[in-house]
Amino acid sequence: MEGVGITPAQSVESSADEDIAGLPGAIDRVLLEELLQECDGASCGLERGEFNEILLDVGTAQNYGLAEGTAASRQQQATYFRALKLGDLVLAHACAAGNERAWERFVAIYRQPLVRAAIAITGSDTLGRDLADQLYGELYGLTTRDGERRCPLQSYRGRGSLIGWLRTTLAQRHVDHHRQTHREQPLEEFDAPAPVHEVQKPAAELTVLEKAVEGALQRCDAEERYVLAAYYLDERTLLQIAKVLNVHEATVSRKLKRVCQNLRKQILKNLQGFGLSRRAADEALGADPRDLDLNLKKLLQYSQSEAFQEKAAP
Amino acid sequence: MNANSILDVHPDAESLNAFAEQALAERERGLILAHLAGCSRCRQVVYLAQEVAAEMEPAVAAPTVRLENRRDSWFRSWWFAWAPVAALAVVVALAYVMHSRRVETVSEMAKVMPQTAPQNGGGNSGSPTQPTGVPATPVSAGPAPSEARERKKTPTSERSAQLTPSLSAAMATAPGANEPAVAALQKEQERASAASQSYVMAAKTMAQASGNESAKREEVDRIVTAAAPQFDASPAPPASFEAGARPRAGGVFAVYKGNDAELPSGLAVVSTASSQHRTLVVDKAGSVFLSEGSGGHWENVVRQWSGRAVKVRTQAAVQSSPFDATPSPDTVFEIVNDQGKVWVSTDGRTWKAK
Repeated sequence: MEGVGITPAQSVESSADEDIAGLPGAIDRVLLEELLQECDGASCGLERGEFNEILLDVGTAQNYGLAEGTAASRQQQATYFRALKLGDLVLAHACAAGNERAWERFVAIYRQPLVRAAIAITGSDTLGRDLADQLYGELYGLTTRDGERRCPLQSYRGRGSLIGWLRTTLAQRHVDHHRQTHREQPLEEFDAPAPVHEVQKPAAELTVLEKAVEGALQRCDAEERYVLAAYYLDERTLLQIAKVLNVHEATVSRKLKRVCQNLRKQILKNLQGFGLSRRAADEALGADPRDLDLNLKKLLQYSQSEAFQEKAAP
Repeated sequence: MNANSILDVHPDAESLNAFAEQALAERERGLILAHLAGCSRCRQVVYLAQEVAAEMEPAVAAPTVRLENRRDSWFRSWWFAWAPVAALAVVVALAYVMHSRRVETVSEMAKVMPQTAPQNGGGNSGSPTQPTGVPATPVSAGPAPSEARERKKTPTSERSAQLTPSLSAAMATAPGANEPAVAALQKEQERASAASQSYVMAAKTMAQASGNESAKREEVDRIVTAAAPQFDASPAPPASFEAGARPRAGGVFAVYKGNDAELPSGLAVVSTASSQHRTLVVDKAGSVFLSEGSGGHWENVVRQWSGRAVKVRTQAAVQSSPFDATPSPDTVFEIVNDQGKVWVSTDGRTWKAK
């Protein structure tokens, strides 16, 4: 293990002709040459110094995929860089830097897929082209912040494909736009529920049940909560969930069944923990969910999405 | 980035895309998953991006798929193209095998025939240049002129069907039944030769009774010609006529060529006699033709005899046994006219009354 650690705070200021191997935080020269040839950076007019700077920025931003505070060895750096999509990374950063050759290549490769993806996301040709043009303008750096030209491509770090990044960015734009414009819905679209006349249960019993459910859900791990949320709240199919988790849909089905059984057991256990007998706990589970003052969405989601602030994009 | 921080802010497009493409490390993947479990907005983004990717990927991969399909179909058609080619090859091979067996059958018959041919040859057989194994006499009686002309027109394969009944039967037999056909042919030839011998013996007996040598010879010829015309009424040209030119066809082919000898007169051959390299033939009109070679060139012999020549023969052949095919060095040709008179010649051109 080599002790040449690189911290995110370190920066590299080197020109193309400098011997970057001798600079602190620089990437090994042999590795740099190898990666530069691999990604065909010369086709984008990228010089060695610029390439080194891009790699260092990307590597330090993610700390080479290591935990915070961990210094990356040269071997770990090489492993991290080789796992990146360097061709896309170089193209994106060359475009962000305003390289004309890179932009020609970007337009030739991604212009049409970008439009098609936008149309597919919005489900409308007009809206899709508008969305694509809007993003294309942002990518081209038409937006400025504090007098400085900003390009979203600078946030691309090469871990996924560039076309995937473009699709995800389009999806983000569309979802955000949809949430902003469709939050208020007309009242006539809602079916007024019939008034329910039920026998009110003792409040203490319901409170116990709510606490038991909340406790059980909090014991679920991230994947279990994700499966529950995706299946019951988003009403996604097993196949859709399986694709996100990169498993077979049968695996998702088994996982879902197991999570539900474990939740039931955990709720019963929690109820018994609150002093209820087994029979009373079973009866409590038979209560109408509508009687519960439970916001499962709130329980599964630690905070509502509206409360989140998207990470500041460059 | 800790759990709290990832819940406070949405992951950027880079992280969500890397998560969807399974490009994140386990630790970071867990953080993103934890955020997704509680963030419907990011789940929606991930699902939407994934659905679009699923829609676009087939379109992007379509050319490759089409190319693979095209290559696959090309391979299929290429492989299917071998089926008719193979079938054609099988048919050609089968035809070749059948043809070879048929030729072999004819050759085997030709090999069998020399054993019986001298017995049927009569007095006109036994050419000095005749190689061993090549029949010098036809199997059956000579064809009529019209038949001879038709034969010239018909191909060889059809001609083979016009052979003697026994030979035709043998030729028509399936390739696998060659041996029974040859055996049947041998039996028939033996039966015919036995009949020929009985005729010759009867003629000899009658000649001995007359005591006249010349009359004896003529009587033998007359009886043999009249009683057994099917055996030597039209003797074949010498084996040297075409023998060797078609080694595969063998003696049968030579017999045919002898019968098909095309004379300047265009008429059918009535009688043939050979000695050394000379061949004399008498056509149906009584004209005598001489050939000194392979029979390709015939010259008309100036008529030096009276009447109409009906037969030509070699003297040595008459004096020796009709079954003796050994050539005699001092043979002379004889022409017999329609009145039974005989003219002799040593070279076939100059004739003297005997």
